Amino acid sequence: MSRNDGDVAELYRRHAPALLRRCASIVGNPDEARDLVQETFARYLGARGWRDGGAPFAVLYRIATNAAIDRLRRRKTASEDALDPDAHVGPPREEPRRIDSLHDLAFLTRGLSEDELTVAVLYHLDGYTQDGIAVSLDLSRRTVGKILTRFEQHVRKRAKRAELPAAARSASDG
Amino acid sequence: MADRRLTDLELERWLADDLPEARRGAASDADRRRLDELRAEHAALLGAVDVGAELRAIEQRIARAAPPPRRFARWTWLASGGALAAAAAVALLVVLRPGGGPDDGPIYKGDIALQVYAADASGSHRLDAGATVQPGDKIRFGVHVAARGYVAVVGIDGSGAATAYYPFGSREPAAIAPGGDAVLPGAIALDAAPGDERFYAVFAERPFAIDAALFAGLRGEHTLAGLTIAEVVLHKKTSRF
Repeated sequence: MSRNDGDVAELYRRHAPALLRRCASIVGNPDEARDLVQETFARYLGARGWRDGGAPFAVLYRIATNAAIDRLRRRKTASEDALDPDAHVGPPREEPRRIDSLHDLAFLTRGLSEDELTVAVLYHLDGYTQDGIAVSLDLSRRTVGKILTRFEQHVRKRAKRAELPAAARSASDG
Repeated sequence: MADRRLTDLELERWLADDLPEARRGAASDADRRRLDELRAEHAALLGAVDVGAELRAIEQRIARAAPPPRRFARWTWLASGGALAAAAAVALLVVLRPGGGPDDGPIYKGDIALQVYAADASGSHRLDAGATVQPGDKIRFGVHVAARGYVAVVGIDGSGAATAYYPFGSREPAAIAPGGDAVLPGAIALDAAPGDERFYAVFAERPFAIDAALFAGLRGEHTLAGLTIAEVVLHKKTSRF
């Protein structure tokens, strides 16, 4: 290993448990979670300047969340056709509507950045409040609110795009 | 939940020595009890894995993710400042493809455009998307971005082989600022691999890895979240007749 083995081992011991918990909570399988944690460290260590990038927890956590959600999307057990984005769109509210289906969340977060996805998962999957997300990720409450608003707009856009194919399907079924 | 002031995520950061002292000081008795639970859970999780084996597996993944070296021999990297004069007026000739494909919401932070220039006896000229090129043709790249960030130019040839062209052979992107000279340093000579050559300029506001996962995403095997991608496809003829 070109890196200092001791440093990497310490990095792993310090962060892997939290990442394993994160990934297992999304993919629901400890073996797959372990694989995702390997992937997470490989991406992190493979990037330049990992030693100089400040506290690694936030970066590793974002990578792990993104990797786990991406793994869900690639599973063939459910298809995007079954998704009904309209179910997640409602009138504007003070608090964004929560999405409690992991499958729906995986597809609805496609195209989001790792930061946005991490916030969306904490809010919708883990049930964190916006304040809780803000203190947990060292973000301002306003930033969290903006990210969730963007996510809701993203969902609305997907719902709009789904309207035409759904109408076409209804017409052909009829 | 009785008097919890810290989230579980904060407690996990605490166990990773990442939580600011001020937040630690805010912990309630209930938080500390939960911290003890998580500490025990973490110890059990670590006890269930062979850390040495995990580290070896991680190192193997890093090695596998490196751009394939065989391509370096098939392409010739030419010294910058050579055959091509920097083109001044640059028109766009690309497909702008936000990460993840057409069904994914666009990422508007920092649009990107990729230009490809060819050099021949008459000088240099911009290649349109879909242009036909031939082995031995020399090309270079220009990239325009609308925001400060990181960029890489990579290619996937007709055989599926992937190469990082800018920075050449690198696994990390280069920092880039909007405006300025759009033509990237260096040039490449096309090899004889048949089929379409797909060139991608990949942009993100933060550094990203130029690795197997990126190339798989560019091949459409999975979503590339957080990246903005411009693509130029050139058709390569292996015979002049």
